[in-house]
Amino acid sequence: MSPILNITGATKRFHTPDGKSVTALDDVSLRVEQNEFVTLLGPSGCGKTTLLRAISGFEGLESGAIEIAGSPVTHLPAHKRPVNTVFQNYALFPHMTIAKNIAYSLDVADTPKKEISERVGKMLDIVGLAGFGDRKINQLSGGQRQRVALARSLIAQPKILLLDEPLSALDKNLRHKMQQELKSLQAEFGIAFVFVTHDQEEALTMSDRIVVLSDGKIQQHGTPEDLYRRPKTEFVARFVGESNLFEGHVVEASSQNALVQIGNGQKVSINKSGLREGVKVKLLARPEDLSVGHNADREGLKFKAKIDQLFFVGADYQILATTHDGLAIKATLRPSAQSRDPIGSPRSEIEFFIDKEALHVIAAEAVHE
Amino acid sequence: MISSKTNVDRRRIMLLGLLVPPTLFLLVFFIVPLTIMVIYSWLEPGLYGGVVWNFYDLNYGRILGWADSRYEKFDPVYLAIFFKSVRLALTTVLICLFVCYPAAFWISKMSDTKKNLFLFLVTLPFFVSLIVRLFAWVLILRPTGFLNQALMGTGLISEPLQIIFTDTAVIIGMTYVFIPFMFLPLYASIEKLDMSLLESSSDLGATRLQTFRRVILPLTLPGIIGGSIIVFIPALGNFIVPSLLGGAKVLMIGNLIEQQFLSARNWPFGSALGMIVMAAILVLLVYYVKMMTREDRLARTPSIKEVQ
Repeated sequence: MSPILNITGATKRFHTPDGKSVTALDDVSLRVEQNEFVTLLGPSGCGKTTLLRAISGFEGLESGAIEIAGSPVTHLPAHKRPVNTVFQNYALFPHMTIAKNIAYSLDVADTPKKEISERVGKMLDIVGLAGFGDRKINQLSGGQRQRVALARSLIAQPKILLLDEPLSALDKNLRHKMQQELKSLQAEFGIAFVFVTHDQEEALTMSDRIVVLSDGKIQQHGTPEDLYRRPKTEFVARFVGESNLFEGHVVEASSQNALVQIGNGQKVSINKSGLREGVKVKLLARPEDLSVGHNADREGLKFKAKIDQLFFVGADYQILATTHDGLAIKATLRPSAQSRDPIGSPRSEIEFFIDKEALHVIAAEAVHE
Repeated sequence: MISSKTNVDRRRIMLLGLLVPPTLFLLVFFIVPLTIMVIYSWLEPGLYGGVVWNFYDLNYGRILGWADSRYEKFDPVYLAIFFKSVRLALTTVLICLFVCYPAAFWISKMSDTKKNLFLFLVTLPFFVSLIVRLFAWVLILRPTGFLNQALMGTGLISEPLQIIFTDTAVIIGMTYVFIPFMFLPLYASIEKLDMSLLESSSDLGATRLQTFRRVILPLTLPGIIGGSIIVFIPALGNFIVPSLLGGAKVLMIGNLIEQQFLSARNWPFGSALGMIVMAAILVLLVYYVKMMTREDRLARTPSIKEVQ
């Protein structure tokens, strides 16, 4: 099946008043399948919002093409594109009631009154605002506004729903609730959602696929597991989730394995092909991959360290420690169910172990697989 | 308790001290003259100026339709002048609106430094005396003036246009004088307009025209109405512009009132004319206030709790 959204070679530069130009999108190509929840993730200024605005038609491209459902829309104005946007600040019309806001796209398309009121009623039910149709926007809470914005966009039956950091203004509990609601709405409507966020946790939670952008380029795209377990670059490793990165270089390489020596002299054999001898690499271990004590049966990295800070966060302890050779370590440790003793205390000594299977290699120069 | 009581007392005294001077000022310079006007408008004009203390409704009668049958027949000339003034003032309002609306939009989108410069330029005319500025318009509009010279120089016309001392000249002059009054309230409401609403409208399939009609216009309506009222009120009662640019040929209600007080020495009739103008404007203002409070009430209805 052809993709619902196909972007090829999208490039866009902005010119600042002092004559410089900033590349917001640099040869970005992206395909989104029907029914897919794709998240554009990146720090502010990475180009994710520009990409979204290029899809919705608010930013033109310098070069590249955009196809929606197989037909080119690159030069189509925003109001003619079969996509709708949920804006960051919702951009609800303050002078209209909720029902009028939701009906807007139908009103401007001269839909018969009867059909409008039926569809608006149904939509109010879906987003849980039945009976609120006559209220004004300023009588609503943040979460309710969010729902109105969603309803207003979905009623237009877009082929793709674009969401520009729609949850950033909500408090944490409400945000979690809305994340679930967004997922179920997507399942219910069966359309592609393209979601922009700078919150990696949100991206991991919600997405079928995440596209990490930085400096206008796609750094990596893949499933949340892919990005978390197998980041291709240091940027992705650092941006998605917490990370421990150990610098090192390949001392021995065979067709299946590579022996990597890290900064403090420890060597570990990694199950990875395609690395050349002498190549500089970084080894990634997520905080939860660390365990306490030494397991003699398993091969891996060992660190003696001193705990700097220790946080109790309910299920886990989060530990910030410094190894004896000066490496900073982040660990998330879960006490065993049998003994609920504290894992350590600040300034106490601790020994960490990382299984070699948990280590992921990131080449300092790009790896071509 | 005692100290808190004296505290309250002291605050009361302070409040009184602050309120008394403006109250006195308004009483002496606003309420008293207005009362004199109201009373005079119901008194009989004296033969050689001044008043005769008799109740006399024919000042209003002369304007509205019943005249003193001993001296004159009813002549609708005063009503005609009133409606002509309304027409000129409305035309001025409309032209100001059409000039200022796009300009306010344009300026609201500028960078901050440019914005401030243009806002300063809009208020710049206030730095020069109104009379001087209007005489400049006389120089521009008169048959041998700059405008006619320029038009004849380009060959567009062969003989000078008679603009000065016509309604057109008065409208040009009033538009010129009142543009800043229209611009500022309009600008205030357009500045506040959230541009993301325009994107959201277009995102939902609205054309530019639909966006204007359904989003921009209703949201800037308070500015449009506010600016229109602020221009309409002084334009309706204006007598300086018509006397300088309209000459003897264009008479507005303001000129008529001025003549009654200063030349004809018929204070009661002048007062009655003034009351008519004031009544017309009050009707307009009451309507405006009603509309604004309705908007306010809608905005202040307490919000509902988050639906679970």
